[in-house]
Amino acid sequence: MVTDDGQLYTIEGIAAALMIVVTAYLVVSTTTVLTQQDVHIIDLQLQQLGNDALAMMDTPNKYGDESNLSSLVKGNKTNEFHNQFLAYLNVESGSGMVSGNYEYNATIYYRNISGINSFSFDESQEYYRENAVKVSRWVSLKEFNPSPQYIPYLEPGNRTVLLEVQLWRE
Amino acid sequence: MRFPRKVDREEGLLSLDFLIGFTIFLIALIFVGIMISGLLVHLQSRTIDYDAVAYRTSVVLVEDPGEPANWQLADLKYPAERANVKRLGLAIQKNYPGILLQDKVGKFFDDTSSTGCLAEGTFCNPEDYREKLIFGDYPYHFNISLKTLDSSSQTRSVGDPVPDQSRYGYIKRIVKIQKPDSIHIYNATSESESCLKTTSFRFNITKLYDDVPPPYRIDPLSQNVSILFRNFSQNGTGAWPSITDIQICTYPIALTGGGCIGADAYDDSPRMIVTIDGNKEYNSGDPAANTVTDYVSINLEKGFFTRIGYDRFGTIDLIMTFDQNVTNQDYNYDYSSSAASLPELQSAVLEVWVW
Repeated sequence: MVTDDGQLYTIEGIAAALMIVVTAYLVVSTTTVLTQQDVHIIDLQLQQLGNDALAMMDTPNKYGDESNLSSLVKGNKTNEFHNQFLAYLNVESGSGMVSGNYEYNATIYYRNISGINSFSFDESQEYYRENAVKVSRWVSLKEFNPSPQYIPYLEPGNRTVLLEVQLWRE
Repeated sequence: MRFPRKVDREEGLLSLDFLIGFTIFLIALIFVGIMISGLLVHLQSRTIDYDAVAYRTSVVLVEDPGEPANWQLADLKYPAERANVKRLGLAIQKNYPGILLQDKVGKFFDDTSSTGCLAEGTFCNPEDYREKLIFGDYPYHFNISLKTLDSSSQTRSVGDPVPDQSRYGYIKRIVKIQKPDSIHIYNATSESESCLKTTSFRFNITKLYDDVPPPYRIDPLSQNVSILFRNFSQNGTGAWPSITDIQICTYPIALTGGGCIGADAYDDSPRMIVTIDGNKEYNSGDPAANTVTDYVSINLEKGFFTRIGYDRFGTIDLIMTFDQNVTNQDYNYDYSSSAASLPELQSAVLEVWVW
């Protein structure tokens, strides 16, 4: 015998499934929007600061001089790079409270006859999973003549390398 | 009506009306929820907006030369010149972001009234800064501070003190400031070595501009020009030389419609100031008072060449005539002309707070 038993159970099930799916979508989408925008602004500030620091290190004070950044990379002067880079990041005018405490690691990317290679230039601390940004700058190395251990297999002469710095707040 | 011991087949089931109503209610609730979350995003963006305004302000300051690009030459005493300044960028050129012009930095931080618009010849604080730099309808409070990395330097600030507690937008920019070239020094020669009563100091603007990129450039069109002409000596009769005429001429006359003007053509700034022996100003109407025993100092205030219509394509001569021979050559105002220190860059930090 055919009755209408069971039809209401089906509608209940569909309605419940619909409610669960829509609610889950609502919760996830609402949370994600707010979080993304907050992080984006902080990333932007850090990235701008890192780019400024590299750009100013790569701008000589006198016409015709070699830039600081070029000199430091060419001479593998990691201590001076550490001091100058962090000095630029941490400098303040003194008008207000500012948070600092930056960490970084810097890698040099270069091309030689075997292809594109990388060389770990300097790092202030090992990177785990902090919220970091990357900034980079092409560095011109005039009359580059490295020791065999430094930037392996990059031929001497006028070379250009990419310095990429991963930067984060501790 | 319920009967004892009889199984009710409809117990525990929902009615179709209830389900339809409840579903409509939920859909409405979801729509409202979505709309409210959108509203919350806008409310949350109050703090985000401050950061964005701070960032935008820093970009105008650091990467834009302003509008007009030589706004630092404006005489703020005149309302028309003040109104002509549309944007307060500090960069030397848009192609050189992060390199600031010292004259712009000086005018931005120093030519500002303590509050309001009462002081003459300064920017109104904060109205002009809001209108020409911060932009937007909201009356933002701000603090803009700059300090060179030289440890002895003072912090230069404009705006309100930064609050301790309230939320503010913030950004820090690392910049370099161009220091212009210093005084250019030229030496006269003794009478026995001299053959010229008239000498000229040549400004080949095209060459000055073409040889060197803007951050390191000598720029007589927008910066002060300082010349020290020294080591004068007596002639055989014991007389000191005396200046009889000073002219500024531009060449080629056929192309520029140039010509010459006298040293005292203008009384107000920007003008040419000639000082003799450090204590008396040159007076073309009184040749007897223009005797030189030590040196002549010539200062062309920034914007002077622009005022008289000379531009980057011109060659300009500053011609001095004496009553006796004082030199054996003409001079060039250029990168190798004297012991002047050429333009250099100095690192600095610029911080912007907006709330």
